[in-house]
Amino acid sequence: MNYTLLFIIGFFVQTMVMISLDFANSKMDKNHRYYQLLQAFRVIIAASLIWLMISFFAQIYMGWISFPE
Amino acid sequence: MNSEYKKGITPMHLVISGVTAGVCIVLALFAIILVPVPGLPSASGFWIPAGFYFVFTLWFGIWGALGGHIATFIAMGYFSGYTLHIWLDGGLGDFIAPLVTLIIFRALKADPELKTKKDWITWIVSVPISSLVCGLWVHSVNLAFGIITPPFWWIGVVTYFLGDSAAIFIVGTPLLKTLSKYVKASPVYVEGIFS
Repeated sequence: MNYTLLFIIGFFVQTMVMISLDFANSKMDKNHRYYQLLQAFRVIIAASLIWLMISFFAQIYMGWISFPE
Repeated sequence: MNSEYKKGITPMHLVISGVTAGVCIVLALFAIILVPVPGLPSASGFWIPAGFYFVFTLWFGIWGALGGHIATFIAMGYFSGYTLHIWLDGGLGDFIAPLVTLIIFRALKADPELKTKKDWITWIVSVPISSLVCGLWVHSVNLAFGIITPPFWWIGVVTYFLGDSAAIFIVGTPLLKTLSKYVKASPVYVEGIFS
């Protein structure tokens, strides 16, 4: 599997994790002991996705990511 | 932290290690912005995952550091061409570095929420110290095994020192400042090193 495909799959997997956390968090009671931790992890994964987007464009510039002509 | 929660090491701490490893591995694999320094194994110019696993370590103690270590180890394995001892060396360096910051924080009783001047000074001083310790470890081992030559040793140490510190400050500071209060309210927040 080439790097570009692996990158895109990794990005989508993390996006799915974030959507799942969002869903779980919305169904959870606000007084649940893990409610706030889950919220923190949602933000962490969102930050991670932002960095992945930045690095995606940076890596196109660096030549690590390329697409077939 | 909420005192009604059970103290001690729980299975949830291992789950936290797994979750932190899961977050960090994607970043360790893909979020590298600058090309690694030629001639220097395991040295990236701007090591973004460090920003995340330093934060996890200040929240979850050794369990956060363990997650960062697992992620680094696996990610370095993907970039094949590195031998096993380079993986171990780099992975161990990334395990030691956040623990140095954690020990400094605990010794000085600083708060990861960065509320007081003391917390801020501890954060600003401990991160470069940790990055330097990590750089010295990784490149001294590489030098001892003959993987790098002496002229590259100091370049590697400086690369680690600057690259890791920059990433940790840029990513870690806002995460600590904004999210620490939420994590501290959970049962898995670690007040010491292990629990």
